Amino acid sequence: MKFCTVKQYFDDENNNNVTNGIATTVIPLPNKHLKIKANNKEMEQYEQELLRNVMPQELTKLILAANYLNFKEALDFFCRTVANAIQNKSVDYVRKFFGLESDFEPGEEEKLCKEFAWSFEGVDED
Amino acid sequence: MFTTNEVLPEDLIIQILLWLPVVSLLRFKCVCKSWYALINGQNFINKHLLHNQTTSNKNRNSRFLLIQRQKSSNDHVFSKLQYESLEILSTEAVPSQYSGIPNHAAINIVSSINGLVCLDLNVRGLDIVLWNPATNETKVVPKSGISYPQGRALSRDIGFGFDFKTNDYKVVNLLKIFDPDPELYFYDINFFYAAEVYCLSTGSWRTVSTSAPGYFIDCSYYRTYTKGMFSWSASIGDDPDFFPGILSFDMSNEVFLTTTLPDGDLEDPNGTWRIFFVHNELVSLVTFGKDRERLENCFYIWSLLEFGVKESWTKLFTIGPLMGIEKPLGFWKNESLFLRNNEGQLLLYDPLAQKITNLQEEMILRNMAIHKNGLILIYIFVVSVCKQHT
Repeated sequence: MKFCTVKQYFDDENNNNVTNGIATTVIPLPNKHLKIKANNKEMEQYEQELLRNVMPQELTKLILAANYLNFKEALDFFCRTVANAIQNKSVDYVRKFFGLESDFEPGEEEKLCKEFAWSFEGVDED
Repeated sequence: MFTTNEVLPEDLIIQILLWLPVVSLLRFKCVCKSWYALINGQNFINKHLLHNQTTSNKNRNSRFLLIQRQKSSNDHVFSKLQYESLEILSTEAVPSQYSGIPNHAAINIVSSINGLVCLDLNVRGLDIVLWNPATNETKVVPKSGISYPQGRALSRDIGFGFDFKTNDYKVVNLLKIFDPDPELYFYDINFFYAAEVYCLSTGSWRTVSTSAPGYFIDCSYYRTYTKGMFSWSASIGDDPDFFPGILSFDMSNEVFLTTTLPDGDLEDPNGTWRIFFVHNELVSLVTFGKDRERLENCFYIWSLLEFGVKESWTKLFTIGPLMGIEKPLGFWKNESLFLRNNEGQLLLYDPLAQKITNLQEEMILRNMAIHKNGLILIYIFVVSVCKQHT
């Protein structure tokens, strides 16, 4: 069921969508997930480990890979990891992380920031 | 083809944003125009809400909302407690337009749905405010302005609920209309009962077409909202036979239902207190005796399985006897019960361990050092917590 896409991937030799490095991280996940499914603390520790070994940019690729492979648990896991990583970060950090640019008019952005000024308190330094 | 800075498609960005708390989402509206539109969109708001209501996320994102009045300054403050740990996350003064309200003013939480809290404030007449504690946005519900030919309309009580059919939030106002002619003797005055509904989507009031029953509403503190039904504690019946029970309003169909209390409900010769709150999504009743000395009391807990069906009241369990308890306030997890003692302090009763913990000393007082010398808990809003939601 969830592995039919994986099978397809292995069958398709010319597959460029998922690099080997990503595959080796994503594919062992189901076993790991099943083993530590019930235990939230272990999952958090695994999450921390992953964050240390993997650069933020890599997480984006992992998400795309998990999505392509139709692997919901991994997708949720990686998305949650990214969310935790950016939760307390500044708007600039998030832009760089996702490769986005501000397309607001000069005055517009300031106005928006003022509207929710309190949500900018306690943000991590870049 | 992958490049080092692959941009994620919108549906995957949504998957990430769903895990973020409201405060981060509000800030990230400033990232770019498409994120602003995305986060503001009703589609995303609904998804985020649903996401936070899944069992694994629900308690993590739920909060208890506490209203207290500081004895020293008489200011009302709101505190948010994390559902799981009861840790105080923040304490704030009431929304600014209502700071400095006089001591005798009462602020009550009517109900909380999907993160929107409805407050009623009695200062100079009734004010109804919709408040989102997660985003700090408030909206004062405008006065109705509907006039009745029979005379003046007074509000008996209000309710706040959600209409599943139209996906709309509604405020219901129970009215008593009477002819204020000073020439009339008291016993000649005719009363009429009506009900009005305010829809958030239209921003206006209209009269409810079905007739509003003329029941006496007992006490505003014991209003409940669950699964589309808003209920008030009321005396049901026709003069002179009145029976205690609940009056319920179906938010979608806009009809009234009454349910009397179960047979076998406690009748204490000294008098009986009855308190209603929501437990496991059911309207639940706690009855206990009015012992003058308030030395010891047993508390009997029932849940109503079906509105309008008196036989569906199911006795859950009995707690006690307990000493020095003024009243129970609501359930926490695992059937632990919040209690208020005669000194106005917040206690937690664990029925399994048969243990009572004084929360004021352990957690709340410690975190509220600045409020020492007099926390008056005027109302705890339990169970239906404000969920984090844009």
